[in-house]
Amino acid sequence: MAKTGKRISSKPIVLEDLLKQVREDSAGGTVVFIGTIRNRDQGKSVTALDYQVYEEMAEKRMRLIEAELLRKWPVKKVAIVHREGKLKVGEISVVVAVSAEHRAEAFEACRFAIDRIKSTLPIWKKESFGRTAKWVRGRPIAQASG
Amino acid sequence: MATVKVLYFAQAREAAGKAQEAIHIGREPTARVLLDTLVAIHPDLGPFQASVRVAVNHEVVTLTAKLKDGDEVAVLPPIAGG
Repeated sequence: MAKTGKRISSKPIVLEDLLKQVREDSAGGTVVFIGTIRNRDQGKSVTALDYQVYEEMAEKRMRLIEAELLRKWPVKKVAIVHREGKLKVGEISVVVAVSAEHRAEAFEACRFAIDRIKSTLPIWKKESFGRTAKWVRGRPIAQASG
Repeated sequence: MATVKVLYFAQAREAAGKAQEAIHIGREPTARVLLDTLVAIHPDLGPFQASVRVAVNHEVVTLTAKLKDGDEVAVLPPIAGG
């Protein structure tokens, strides 16, 4: 269950819940992007990742991304969830699920969404390498989805 | 003048030593003046001043943006989500 709204979760993401959210009889294809914690970054062994989220602003911007997908592509339903808190290697950090009548728009919209997530959501991550930890170098937050 | 709620994130939170605080700005309350004030109070924020963005009530603003009483202002270092 999410801490605020439904889009930022402090507990492990359950994929089946997201598939249920986008299930739609008129959809012929569903594309799901699953982001997971990698075990290496910049040549070093990652042991954990700690996500910090500006929750209210992230929720707002996630809703805008969903609305943008529905406006730009003939997709049926969209569901996006992002984790916050401490994650281990292999854990799921973010999921984008998109259902559509046909696969072309589902793939395109899903790709667009994860790119938008990475460029517009107020989320930061601190990488642990054993006993040291460092904030991942990010990019300036871009304008929200129009 | 204005009293605003300032939220810090990531490196800025570590530099300020806190997640949030109320700040009163006596003179012309713009985002730029607020940032200068924050750096004066928390000198460790200095190295981050050039790279942070400012959001007011969840909207990213330019530094000329005027602040009003009760605004929620967030100091956002470069993001890294997903």
